[in-house]
Amino acid sequence: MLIKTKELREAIINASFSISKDKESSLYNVLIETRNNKMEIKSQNNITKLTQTLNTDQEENLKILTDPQKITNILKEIKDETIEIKKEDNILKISSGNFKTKLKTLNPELFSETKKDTNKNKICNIEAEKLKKLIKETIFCPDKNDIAREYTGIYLEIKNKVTKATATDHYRLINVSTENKTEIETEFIIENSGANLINKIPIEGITEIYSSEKEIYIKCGNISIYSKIIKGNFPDYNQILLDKETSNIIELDREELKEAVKRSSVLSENREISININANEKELLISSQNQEGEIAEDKINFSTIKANDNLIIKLDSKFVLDFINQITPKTVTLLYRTSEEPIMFEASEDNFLYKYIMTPIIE
Amino acid sequence: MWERVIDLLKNSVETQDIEKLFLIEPLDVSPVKISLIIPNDSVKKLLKEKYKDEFKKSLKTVFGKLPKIELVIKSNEKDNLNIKYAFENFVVGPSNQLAYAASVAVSENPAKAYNPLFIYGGVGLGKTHLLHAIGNAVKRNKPNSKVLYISSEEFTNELINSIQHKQMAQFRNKYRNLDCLLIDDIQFISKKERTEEEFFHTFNSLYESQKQIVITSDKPPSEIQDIENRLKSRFSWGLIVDIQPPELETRIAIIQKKAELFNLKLSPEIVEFIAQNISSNVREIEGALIKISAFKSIMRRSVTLSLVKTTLQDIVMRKEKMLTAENIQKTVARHFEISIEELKSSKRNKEILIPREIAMYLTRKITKNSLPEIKAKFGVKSHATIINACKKIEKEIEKNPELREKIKEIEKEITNV
Repeated sequence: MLIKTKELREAIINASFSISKDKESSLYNVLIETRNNKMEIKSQNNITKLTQTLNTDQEENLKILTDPQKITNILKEIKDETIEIKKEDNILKISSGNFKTKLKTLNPELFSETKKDTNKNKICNIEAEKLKKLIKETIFCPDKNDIAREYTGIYLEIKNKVTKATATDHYRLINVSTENKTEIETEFIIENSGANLINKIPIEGITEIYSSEKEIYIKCGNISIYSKIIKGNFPDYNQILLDKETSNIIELDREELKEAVKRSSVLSENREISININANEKELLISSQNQEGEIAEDKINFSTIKANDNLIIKLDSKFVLDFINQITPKTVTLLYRTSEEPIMFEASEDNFLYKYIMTPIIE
Repeated sequence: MWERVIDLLKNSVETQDIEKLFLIEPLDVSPVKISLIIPNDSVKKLLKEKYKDEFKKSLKTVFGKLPKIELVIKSNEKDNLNIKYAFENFVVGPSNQLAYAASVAVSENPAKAYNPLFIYGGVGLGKTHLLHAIGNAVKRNKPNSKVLYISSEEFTNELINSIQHKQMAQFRNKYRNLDCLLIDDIQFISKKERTEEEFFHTFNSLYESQKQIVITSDKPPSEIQDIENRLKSRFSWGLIVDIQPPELETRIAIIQKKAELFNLKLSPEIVEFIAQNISSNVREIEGALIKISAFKSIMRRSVTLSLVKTTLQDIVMRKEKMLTAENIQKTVARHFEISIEELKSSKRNKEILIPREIAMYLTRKITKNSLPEIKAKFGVKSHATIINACKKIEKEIEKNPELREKIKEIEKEITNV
């Protein structure tokens, strides 16, 4: 059968993101299945499953179970637009011009495909770009090793025409929201590896999201992504968001803040920085020092939205940079109350609103 | 296992009954006990009478012996009851003792003890809890009784839908065939003529058929404005009980109970701190505990007095922010449809003077402002003006029920943060 080289290569690379990590497992391989001029490339592990459909000239049924890494390496070296694929016994033959290769394949029956969940319901349509952004901006935060499973994934809420993604590692919490037209209200915690898969797969256009009791299913063009969801309740994070009415609020230039944090934390051995907000002078002094007592400090100005109180707070510089590095607005607002309470950064860009809470370092 | 039982059973039942047997849902199946959900009485009769022997034989064949059989009739009617609310987790104190006792009595003897039972009191004091607790207890005592909890707003919406879709017969059938109607916040049907009319007939129908009605409201029947007198008088036929804000000891007990629910271990010092600082309603106490619980679980912070203080600070600060002379002036002015400038002016006409005096009275009553501070906020020349205004309004409240209601409403808006 003939197939486009680039399409197959990309599909195999995508599939490799959803294979098992266990090299001994048959699920460490991808299944290529053809039927009625369609080729399906499937991969799955204990959390996620991915299927991508391509067009082919093959009418007969054919099943190939093979190592995605080997086939990707071969396809990367082929410059021709199309390649020819044949399977003889357990040998996969790939040819392109004078180049020929023979690969051993496994018995396709070893690929024990999980049964389709027939009880899934459609939740909504959402632009792939929006969904990917929600995931991308929160994926750095979950604590993958937390014993409480609900903290290991990303909490997605679709309600009141807003879609929100939230994750926490107990030191900080990120909450990103964007508008969505759907009337349906739902919430679930997607497994970390499911979120990672959505983040990595290049999907475009409108995605359809379906959910069942145990998994979510995302369909976008010729790609279908399945991920298990985590049973459990994500705690009511709204309770810890800082309230504008009862907080001091200052506005900072994001780039200035980023550079100042980077510079000031140079000498810090444990990433700890001290932030000193002088509300009267509208100055923010960031400093750090090492065990020898050597000091690095930087000062930036801010504009006050509503701030009467000064603040001296110790923060983890990496946590600050994790947030301000990934967003692009010109300014960020900082909400604070006392040096023992969490602070909250807030920023908005395009149609996204970011809230990022950090707990202070208290000795 | 259950499939095998059905497979065997279907060979020995009449064809027209096979389909009915497939409607049975296994709830718990083991060789010791088998619990089944039965769609209705007719299917129950099939198993208990018509095919009693065949059923037992099939069970014996599959399990080797006869397990204990439990048949549960599936309930199709939505009762809107929340099982979370029970008498067992209602904290009783002097402020709600009577309402609690009356509710228990009603649940034990529906339509015999007090009918209707009318419970009134402020926001978040446990009226809805008692309604659900009555419903749950009635259902527990008589599982087949038809109980319905509904808010008066939902009642109105359902009525509108029924009118729109010409389904009034179904609507009436639903409400007039209940054994126990629990209706929350009845004050919201005021000024809704058709809802009042329909509720009046529902009330009569249930009352005449000796079915229990329990009603809650934020005020006693006589003080609900814009509601037909015939309804008000019916609400007074049974027992009217009130719930007051809990006193310190009850608040402590509530906090301890709620903390248990949230899996929070609070020291006596912390419990007392919360009880001292949150006094107005139980929902606020619950709000504070939810906040503390969120901090504990998300930020992994241990629950210390310092954490509780900072957490409650938000609630206290928000409250203090609302309880300012400026906010009182704003709220009063809005209620009397005058501007803040007019309210603070020295105009002596009644339309301006009364609101100004009310604002002074409320500022004195609910803020921590001293007389000189109030004097400054209202721009008056002497303390006597404020004292006289307060005395005048206190007298007016005594003799003018309409004004009393208005002031109560404004005060509630300001203090309910």
